[in-house]
Parts: sequence; structure tokens; C-alpha cells
Amino acid sequence: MIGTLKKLIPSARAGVVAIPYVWLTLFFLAPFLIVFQISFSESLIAIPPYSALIQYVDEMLTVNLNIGNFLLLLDDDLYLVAYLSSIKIALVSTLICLLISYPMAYAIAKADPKTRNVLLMLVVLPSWTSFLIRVYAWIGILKNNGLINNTLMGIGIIDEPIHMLHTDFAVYLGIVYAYLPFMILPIYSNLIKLDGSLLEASSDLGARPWKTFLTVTLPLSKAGIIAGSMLVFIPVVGEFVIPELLGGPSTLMIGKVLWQEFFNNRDWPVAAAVAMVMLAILLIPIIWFNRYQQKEMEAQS
Amino acid sequence: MASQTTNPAVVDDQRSAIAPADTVLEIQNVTKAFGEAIAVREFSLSIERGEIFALLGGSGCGKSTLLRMLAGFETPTSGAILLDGQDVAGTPPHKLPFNMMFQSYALFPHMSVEKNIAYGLKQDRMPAAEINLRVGELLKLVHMEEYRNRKPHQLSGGQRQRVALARSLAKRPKMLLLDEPMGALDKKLRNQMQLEVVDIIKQVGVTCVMVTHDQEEAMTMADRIGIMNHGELVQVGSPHDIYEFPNSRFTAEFIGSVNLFDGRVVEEEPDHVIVDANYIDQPIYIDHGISGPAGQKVRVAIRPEKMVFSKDKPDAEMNWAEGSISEIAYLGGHSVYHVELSSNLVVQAVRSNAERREVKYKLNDQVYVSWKADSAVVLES
Repeated sequence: MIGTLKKLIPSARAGVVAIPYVWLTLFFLAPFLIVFQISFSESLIAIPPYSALIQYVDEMLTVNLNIGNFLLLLDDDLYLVAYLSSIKIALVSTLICLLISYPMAYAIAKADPKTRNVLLMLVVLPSWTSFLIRVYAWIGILKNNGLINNTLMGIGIIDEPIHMLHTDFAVYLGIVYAYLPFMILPIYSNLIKLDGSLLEASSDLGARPWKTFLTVTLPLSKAGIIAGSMLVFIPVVGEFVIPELLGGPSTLMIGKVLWQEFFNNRDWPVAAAVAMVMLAILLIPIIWFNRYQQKEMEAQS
Repeated sequence: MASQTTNPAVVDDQRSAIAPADTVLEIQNVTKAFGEAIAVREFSLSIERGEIFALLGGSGCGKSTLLRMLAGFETPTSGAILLDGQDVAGTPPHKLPFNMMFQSYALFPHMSVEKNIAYGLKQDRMPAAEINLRVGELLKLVHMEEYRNRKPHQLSGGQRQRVALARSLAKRPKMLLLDEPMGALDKKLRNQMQLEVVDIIKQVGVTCVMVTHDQEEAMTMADRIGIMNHGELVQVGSPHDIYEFPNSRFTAEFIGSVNLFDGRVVEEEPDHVIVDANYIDQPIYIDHGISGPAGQKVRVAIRPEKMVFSKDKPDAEMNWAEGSISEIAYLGGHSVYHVELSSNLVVQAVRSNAERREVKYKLNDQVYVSWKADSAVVLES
């Protein structure tokens, strides 16, 4: 009797394993399904502002799937342009992040352990202040009577302020600034694991330092580069705050479109459809990354 | 395991005949300091062409630092390393005609066996067709032809070692450096690979300097051994010389086990010497002279396998002691007996278990330990 009871009570081990599943179900799967369902409904002036998918009227169970929201996305250029522009901005800023981060990560990994901790701290330190405040700070730096323009005009290098705020340049600057640590840390943690004897072996076999870097260090840090690029690329595609605060009217990003659909047009179904398509687009690199990681894991075992 | 096949293509252009006393490398008064710590001190050594030289010592004795200086990874603080008469100390590794087999093999994990072996050749801009040919030869040399396209993680420890060896031989280096060559293998595979690696090195005829802490490995593989302690060379010689005629307490104790007796010279003649040992009643008679006056304090070493014991009292006046067996370690092929002498000094004696049924010695048996006149060695320090 007690034995059967014991079987019914989940063990501590099962409980521990269940935590991530419960978490993901509550905070990822459930919201996802809700948004997914809204994307197939019709916009209404009501509370909630969309039609129900499943209706039961007069003993008739009807399922209304409205694919009009998705058709609209195809129909109106705005969405396609916004998606492409988001992807372009994300790609370019990922690349810039990579170009800046790799030498930084390399230098940190090569530094002696004491300096290394200080340098790592400096990379992480800015994120101790609010993200929003840091983006606002850029407004103060970039605006027409901001820090840069005032300084340059003060020492007489320019007569007119350079228009920097509310341009694509400001958006790139903000994104690269905000996401740099996400690129540096994975590359650093990869480079720090690199077996020094491999570099010595390469040198011993006659490769100059630069050749060793290209043929040994770089290929072996591929996993770190990919991880960092994912950590930058994926959130940047959907980035809203930075283009909203630093970008101009011409800066078109899907995050902004999404916001406008939700809050300006109050068209939840179209907004949900925009979000769904964005997720589908991001799924491609995520799946590819997963495959790559799996292959790496097999190679290491 | 080592096969007898000789690949003429590989051996052809290598030096096959070993000229006597033909020095390839001369290390002159090399010192290496890391800050305050001195890793290698006033080290001098000549390496002959075609020999396998083993630097043997405990961890931290400076042997690895010395090897790394030869490979170009470290620059000596002072002293010279002459390769065929030219000082190469401080030359960066990619310009030195030496190749190293690393302890962990350091195979490039993202490259196939073939690419690993070809790596050094590619740095020399050898044409692809030639590289292909050379890689084929090397794979044949180390019996790894079927594994050409495997990645290192798909190979066993022994196979990785072969690839590492092939890679370090690919460029026909003037000298091959081995860093703890068998360090990553288990004992059984180690013994097998030791012979195989020596076979390959001898086949190619390359001069080889290896570093190891394993005396058995050094004795099996090397033509000459240099014992290192505290950054200095203690003794250099053939495995036989080092074992039979250690010059110091350190060498005697580092290689194999040894019984040491402190004593005083009581009679010194050109053809023999008699030492009065502190804890042995009978004096020790040694049938070769030493250079030192009577009364000098000396230390005498006798290897356990040169100690015999029996229950009968020896007739001789010297070279024996009385005691009782205090410990027996049965090791299969032989047994180690600890005999406690009346002075409480414990000596070790090894007896081979050649006969299944022979007179068994038991604990606490009263025995007489004895040795021949040529068994003992007087240590200089």
C-alpha cells in the first residue's frame, strides 16, 4: 500500500527535472500558442480586440481560421521591406560586433590571469546600469547640441553640427555598443580553452604566427564565433528600443512595425502574424546552430 | 608489433650510416631563469648524429625547459645551442629544422590525419603532388594507411601517437624532439609503442632527443641517457653504465632501487679498496680502486639483485651481513626481500623466482646477506 503511494508521489529527481519543463510551458509554450491563435483571428473593436477562433452557436461548432493577416503581410510592401531591413541591420551589426569583439576577446584570453579578470569585468560592467539609460546617454552624446558636436564646434573643427542622431548610423552605433558583450564573452570562453600546444605545434611545423592564427586559432574558435553571432543576430532582428530612440523616420525595423500594429493600429491579429513570421525567419539560423552544436558535441566525445 | 618492413623511399635520403662522434648539436653552458627561479643551470651536452638521447629526471628538474629551448619555444638566458656549429639559441620555432612530438600529441582536431601530416609540408610550399606522395610514405611508415581521412578524435591513443610521430617526421627534421612520448598511454600499450617508435626512428635515422620521467622508458628507447636534477646534468652514459656505475646517490636512487652504505675507506690500493661501513659488521671489499685517501668518507651502493642470501654463514671474511627477513614482496617473476640487519639497517635483496619449488624463505628467518667483490660501487657524491 505504502509502496503504491510512494510511486504516486513524484520523486525529488523528477521534480528537479520538471522545473525547466514547467517553466518553458508556462512562459514560452502558452504565450506562444496564444499569439499563434491570435494571428489567425479577425480584428474587432472589442475586449479582447480580436475574434475567437472557435465558436459554438446553435449547436454548431465552427473554427474560423483567418489567414488574411498573413496575406496582408505578403500584400503590403511595408512588411517585406521591414523584415529585409531588420535582417540587413542585424547582419551588418553582427559583422561589426564580430570584427570588434574578436581582437578584444583574443587580447583578454592572452592577458595574464589578473589583468584578464579586470578586462572581463570592464566588458560586463556597463550592463550593470539600465539598458535604457545607456541608450538615452547616446542621445546626449549624438544630438546636434550634444557632446560630440559641441566639442567639435568648440575647438573649431566644424561650423555646423553633424547630424548623427535619428540616422541609421546612430542605430548601428547603439546596437553594436549594446550587444558587444554578447559577442565578446562566447568568443573569449572559446579562445581561453584553446590548447596552447596546438599553437606551438603549428609554429614548430614551420607556420608563422599569422598563418597559425588563420589555420589553427580561427577554425578552432568557430563555435564561439557562431554562438556570439547568434546571441547578437537573433535579438537584433526584433530590436525595438534602439531604433525607436536613436533611429530616424527612415529606419524601418520589424520591431517598430510590430509596436505600431499593436499600439497605434490596435490590430492585434496582424501584429501577431508579424511576430509569427519573424519567429519563423529566426528559426532557420537557430535550427542550423543547433545542428552545428550537435555535430561539435559528437566530434568532442 | 614493430614490423621489419623498410620503406626504401623513406630511408633513401636519410643518413643511414652513423658516423662515430659526429656531433649534430652542442649545448654550451645554457642557463634558463624564470625571474628568480633557475630552471636550467650551466648545462652542456653534445648530441651525436643518429642517436636517441633521453633526458631523464623528476618533475621540475628542468628537462622540459631544456627541450623547449631546443625547440625554440624558450630563449636561453645565457649560453649557446650550436646546430652544426651555428648558434640557433633564440631562433623562433618556425625557422628551426627541428620537429617535436608533443606529450598530448597536439594533433589539430579540425584536420584529418592526412592534413595533420601534410601541415608542415604545406608551410614549406611543397607542391600538392609531392605532399601527397610524402604523406603516403609516412602513413605507410607508421602503419596508418587506412586512417588517412579520419579525424584525430576517431583514433585510439596509440594511433594518435603514430600520427603525431609521422607529422613530426614529415619535414625530415635535423632533430626529432620527443616530450614524454608515452606519457598519455597505458602501461601495456606503452611498452609496445616504445619499441615501435624506436624501430621507426632508427629506420628513418633521425637524431632524437627525448625527455621523460620514466626510467624504464629511457632505458628501453635511448642509446644514451642524461640524468638531470635541479636543472643540472648529473650523469651521462649508456643505460648500462648509468645503472651499473652510478656516480651519485641521486642517480643510484633514481634509476632502480639501491642499498646505500655510508662508511670510511680503511684500505686503498690500485686494484681494490676496503670500506668500513657504519652499520655492517664486516667490511666491504671492492675489487676496483677509487681515487681518494684512506680515511675518506664514502658511500657504497649495491643493487638489490646483486645481494644474495642464504641460511648458511658465508666463509669469506668480508662482504656479508647477518639479519632477519622483515618483509617479502612477491612480484611474480621475482620477489623483493627486506632483511633487517642486527644494526637495524634494512637492506633489500631481489631473488628471481626461477624455480617453482625451491627453498622458501619466510618472515623472520635468520639469513646471511652477501655480495660479490665487483657488485659494490663507490659513489662520488
